[in-house]
Amino acid sequence: MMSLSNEDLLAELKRRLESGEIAPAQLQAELPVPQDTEAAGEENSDLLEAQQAEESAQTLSHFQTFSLTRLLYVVGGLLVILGIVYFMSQLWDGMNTPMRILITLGMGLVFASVGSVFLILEPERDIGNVFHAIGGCLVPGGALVTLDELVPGVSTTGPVALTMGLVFVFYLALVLYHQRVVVNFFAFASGTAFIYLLSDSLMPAAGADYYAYLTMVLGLSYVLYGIAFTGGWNDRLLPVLYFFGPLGFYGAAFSRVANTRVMEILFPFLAFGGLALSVLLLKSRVALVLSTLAVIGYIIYLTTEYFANSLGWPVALIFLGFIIIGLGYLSVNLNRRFL
Amino acid sequence: MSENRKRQLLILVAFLLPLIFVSVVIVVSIFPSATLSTEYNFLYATCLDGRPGYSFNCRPYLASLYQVEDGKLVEKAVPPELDSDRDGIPDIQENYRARLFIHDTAKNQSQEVRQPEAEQLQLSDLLTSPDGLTVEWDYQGGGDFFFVFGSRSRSGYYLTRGNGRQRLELINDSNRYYYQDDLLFLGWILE
Repeated sequence: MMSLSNEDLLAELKRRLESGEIAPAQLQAELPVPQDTEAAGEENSDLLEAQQAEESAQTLSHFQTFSLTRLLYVVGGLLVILGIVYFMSQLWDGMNTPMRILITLGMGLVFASVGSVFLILEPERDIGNVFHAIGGCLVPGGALVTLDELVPGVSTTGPVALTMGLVFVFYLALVLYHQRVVVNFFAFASGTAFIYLLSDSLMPAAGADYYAYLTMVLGLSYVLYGIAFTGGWNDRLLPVLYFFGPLGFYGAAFSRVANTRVMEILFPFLAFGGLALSVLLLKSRVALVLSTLAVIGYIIYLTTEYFANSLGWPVALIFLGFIIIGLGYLSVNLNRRFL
Repeated sequence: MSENRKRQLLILVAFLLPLIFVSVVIVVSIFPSATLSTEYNFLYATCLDGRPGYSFNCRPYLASLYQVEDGKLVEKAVPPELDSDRDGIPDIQENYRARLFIHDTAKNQSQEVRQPEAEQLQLSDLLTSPDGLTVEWDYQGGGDFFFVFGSRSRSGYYLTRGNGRQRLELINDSNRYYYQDDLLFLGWILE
């Protein structure tokens, strides 16, 4: 039986891995990982995490570096989007159905495809992200235009929800393949729109209460995504998630404060809980600011609702002013000490 | 549990959370409607004036024409001065054509009946059936959603009990648009 040297064996293994004859998971399964010793497993896992963290840090530092090229990409991308929108608005009435679909969805898919090609060929450059950003601005609208052109007179949200669901699946597939923030952003946008449209199509009678609680759940979901993404390739999405998550959560909860007694009692706990959470767990300034605004909003509500008439409006204003100053001071101190 | 596994679990929870919320609300809101049923049928009247579409505002005419007395349908003379649609022409000269229907609640379909046959029925003139269901009209005006598509609206008569509602397929319902006034619920059929 012919025996291979270690170098040859590794070279052969590498070749087969690259050609796809052996899947990385298959190889990993065959490796003798010591199952009985917990410590060894932990060690491997720690090593892997350390490597991933290092790679993420490298990627992050690469992306955070400002360059003129990147600025030109952003300006160029914006100009392209503006140009396309202006071009479409000028010629829209004179265009027939195939042309309308081609110029919106078709062009969006072309940009997304070019973006994907660049991300595969030159993953270290931003050019792929720029093409995906332009594509992302066109694909959802293009899909809806396609629906409107092919099924005229759609009066229910069911088909719209289905279309947005397909756009979401499209971007989810791109996220799994590319693992890039730009496509993940559009996956979040289309996914969120899909949930609202699905709700409207399945429960047309759903009222403001339902949508408020749904928005709270989505806000919570955004924050959970943010915690899960911390330190990973999705790190750059954190400010977006920590802005829209608490904004949706507190905005929706606050909209119910005046209508629901339970929410009126629960809201201060949510707001102060968010304040603590944003400092201790999320370590996010954006979340801290929004939690502080939620507390301020609640105190303004309480003052106008219960104290303005008894204390008199000017006294209530003075009281309110001092509380807001105190909260601002607390927020700034928390920011300095913990963030 | 490794950090990576925790992250994956968190992503899964974040992904499923809105879907679970929507599913729970659907189950909770659809279940009372799906289980809504009554063993009683009901009698109703509609009016048409011979023109295409609907004849709105002829309900006062129907209410004057048909009444339930001692559990029986009786026809009354319409007051000559009654002008339901306020167009200056009295109802008795409007050529309104009143029709009577029995709605089978189990099949959710209506059957027209002649007046003598309807007069034989034992009716309850209460709005609520003996087993607690009511026939109600509801209109939910729909604004545009995401300003892309036209206005949506859902209107019509529903069988309701508490939060549960089941749309009734009544005769001429699709022509009713968002008016309720060409139909009059007369009573639940007891026998």
